Amino acid sequence: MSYQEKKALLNMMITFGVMIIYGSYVYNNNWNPNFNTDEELQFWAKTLLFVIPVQIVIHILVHILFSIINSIATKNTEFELTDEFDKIIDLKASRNSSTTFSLGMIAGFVVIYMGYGLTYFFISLIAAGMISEIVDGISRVYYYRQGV
Amino acid sequence: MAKLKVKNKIRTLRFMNGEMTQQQLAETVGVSRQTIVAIEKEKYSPSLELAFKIAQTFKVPLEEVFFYEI
Repeated sequence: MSYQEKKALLNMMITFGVMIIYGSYVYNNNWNPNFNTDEELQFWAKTLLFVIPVQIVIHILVHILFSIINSIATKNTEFELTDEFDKIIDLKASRNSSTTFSLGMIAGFVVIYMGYGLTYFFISLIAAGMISEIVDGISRVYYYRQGV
Repeated sequence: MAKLKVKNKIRTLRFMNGEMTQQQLAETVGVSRQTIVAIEKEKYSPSLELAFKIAQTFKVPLEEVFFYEI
């Protein structure tokens, strides 16, 4: 497996892992089923605003660690290069990921329309985000192996 | 993935240039080895700029490296 493929899978695992761990923590410590609409919106805003920097910091730390371990293990600096092939794959994977997230957002609106409430809308959004990250990772591995 | 119609003779040209490795070719033209692998296996058609760089590396005209299969 190439460095780029490993990186794509690692990205997928970090996002998934952070969301599961952080989601469990928030649900067990901050969630109150008796929230009114304003409190619920504030809760979700706080939760989602906090998870963005957390994801970024963890991604950076894990990737630095991964780069060091990978360069020691393989004794090459291939990961430093991002060429035209990588850029095309990046664009195509991002397109697939964005499409998936858009569908998830539409699903969220459908959930609200059906009267399930805000909680399920935000759960749909988070699920869409996680699924889109998985689609992104799988797309990258697929394009690196099958070509573009 | 549809099979590309742009074929190449990179493997042969590497052999004829002192068994040049994919890594050496990649470093010469400024891409990763994985990109050279993808081009050689005809899974990716390079940009014109990269195609010319590859041809210049082997000191042959472009059409001797890449050709279109009808």
